[in-house]
Amino acid sequence: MSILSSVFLLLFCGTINITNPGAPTIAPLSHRIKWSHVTKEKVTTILVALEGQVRITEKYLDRVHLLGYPKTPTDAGIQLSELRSSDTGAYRCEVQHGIEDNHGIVHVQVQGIVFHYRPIMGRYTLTFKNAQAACAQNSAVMASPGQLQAAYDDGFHQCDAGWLTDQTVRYPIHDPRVNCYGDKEHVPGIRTYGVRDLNETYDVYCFAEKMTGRVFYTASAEKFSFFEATVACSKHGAQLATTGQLYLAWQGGMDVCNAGWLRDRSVRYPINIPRPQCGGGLLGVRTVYLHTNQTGYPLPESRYDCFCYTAQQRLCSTCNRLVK
Amino acid sequence: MIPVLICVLISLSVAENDLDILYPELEHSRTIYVVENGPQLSVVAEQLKVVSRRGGNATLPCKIQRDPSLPPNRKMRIKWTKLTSNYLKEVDVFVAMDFHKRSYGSFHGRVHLQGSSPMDASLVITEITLEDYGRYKCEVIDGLEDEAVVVSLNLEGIVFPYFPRLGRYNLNYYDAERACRDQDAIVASFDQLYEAWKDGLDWCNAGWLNDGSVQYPITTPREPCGGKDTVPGIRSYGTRDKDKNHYDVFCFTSHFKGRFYYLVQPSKLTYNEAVSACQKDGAQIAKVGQMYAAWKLLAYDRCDAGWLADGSVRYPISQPRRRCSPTEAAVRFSGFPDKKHKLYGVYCYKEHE
Repeated sequence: MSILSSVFLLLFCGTINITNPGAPTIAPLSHRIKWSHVTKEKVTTILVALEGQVRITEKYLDRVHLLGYPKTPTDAGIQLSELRSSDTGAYRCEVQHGIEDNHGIVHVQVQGIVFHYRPIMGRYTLTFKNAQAACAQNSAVMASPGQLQAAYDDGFHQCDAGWLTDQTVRYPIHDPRVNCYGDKEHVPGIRTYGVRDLNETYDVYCFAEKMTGRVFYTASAEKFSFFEATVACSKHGAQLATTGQLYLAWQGGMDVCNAGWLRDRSVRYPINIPRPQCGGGLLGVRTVYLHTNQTGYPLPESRYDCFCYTAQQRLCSTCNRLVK
Repeated sequence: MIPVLICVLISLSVAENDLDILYPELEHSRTIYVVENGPQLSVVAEQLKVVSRRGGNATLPCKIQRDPSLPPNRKMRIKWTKLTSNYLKEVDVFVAMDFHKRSYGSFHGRVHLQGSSPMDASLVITEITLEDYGRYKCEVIDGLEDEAVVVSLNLEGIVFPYFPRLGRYNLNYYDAERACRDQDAIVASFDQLYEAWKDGLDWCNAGWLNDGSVQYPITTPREPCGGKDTVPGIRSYGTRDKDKNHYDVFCFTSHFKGRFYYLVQPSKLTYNEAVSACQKDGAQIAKVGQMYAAWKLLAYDRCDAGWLADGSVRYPISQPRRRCSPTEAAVRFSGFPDKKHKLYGVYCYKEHE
């Protein structure tokens, strides 16, 4: 499932089949249905249904509902809407009646990532058309307002206005601060400039949906100039990765505390494990800008490692991650 | 496990008309959503860790706390499960609701609720086995609410590194499981190895642990064991391929009920003579795990090298002295000699009558 390709997700629990030999007639609504979202770190209850009553956990209140219950008491299926990356994981439905119980597990991988993109020319230099091209050159498409909202709900914040597909210009703010208030002052949310003239220039929010190959990190003792980095990747039968590919690799868990060249001549590094010496303890794809006001890319003769991309998947016999 | 269907609708098994009769007040088009008004149920354990031993008993504490102003719920349901290294998999242990009770699998007949009060969900496990070691979840369901607490059951015992006659690094994960079982032990957990490391275990051969990882404990860092200028610790190779990768294993064993002893014989024995000497004594040739358990838990000490069931020759020293492991208390290992060599004594193990 992806933020892009579907508005909602249907999760079915299968046919509930609980037999209780001691009780010949089971009141149809006496089954207790429970859905939870299970990751290695924690279990979050989504909802519990019993005797026609349903209790939904607050954070799922507006985006989950039971498909057939209680009209069909044995239908434990749910619909989850407004998908976001943090919805990835296993969904467990438990059905209980008396001392009997049974459960099923559905694996869900929500794909795709929204990222802010500022080209080499500097801040607010992209017309709508050029913004679309910039995303395309980085293995992505321009993000929709819904995708930016889903990313915002997952914690994404950025104080730079960027184009979206509906030709509006917006930016997501969780902690309003000076120069990022807009007219809403301290209220967190996505600020919008409304629909803009297509020739005005801004940054852009792109959406990369799916990793098709593999991004890997390449280093040498002397590091590489931009030109040498291109050569280094081709020696591995690969090419420099795009910014979108690096974001997808980051989402897949890549963590490298050394900055590397990318195909658009930007220099970035993916951090999944917070460390003070690696991007100040912050998580995300960190960007090395030429200027302190976060504009411009490093000069081509400066020396960094590099991130390469190959369409070839690593042989993966032990991967047990289920991708839906 | 319910077969999981995605995007397939389930046919109705109850006709709508039946429901109208059963629940005339129920409006089909709407679900009744219940607003949370604070938890009225909680489940606590006064200890999160309980220590017992093989053959012993243990009570895993679990206490239900419920709003006393609520009417009692006869349909409150208590379920105990055992967690596994796979976070999606739990093993059923025991369930109770009203007068219905059921225990599952290897726990059948060995578990019951302590039941000191209706709010006491503590579980008593008797005749504890090595496999019972682990984490248990006590889950209480009360209407729409449910709560759970996890309690660990630890066992007194000893971790020992093991490789068979085949030599070093010859066991895949499944061989390793069998090897430990053959020595009256099970594959150790990381926590058990960690405790052993804290007690001073230093072993420079990597071995399987029960979570499928391969690790080894180092208390004195040195060059071939992860580097000389490193900190002491448990070195990890991470999770390895259970079929294709071959290592040694760390086994864990606990108290036994029988008697472990050195069989005094007029002369030294070959392996086959050792096996039959124990049989003649109404016993069996002892296993490696039994020697370790006797040494660690009973301070067994004998300065005679003797055959064990796997064809190895060892002797247990708990009081180091000249010529008998002078520097440390240890189970000394003399290798896997030719089984025809008539050079050693024998250790036997007799089950209690």
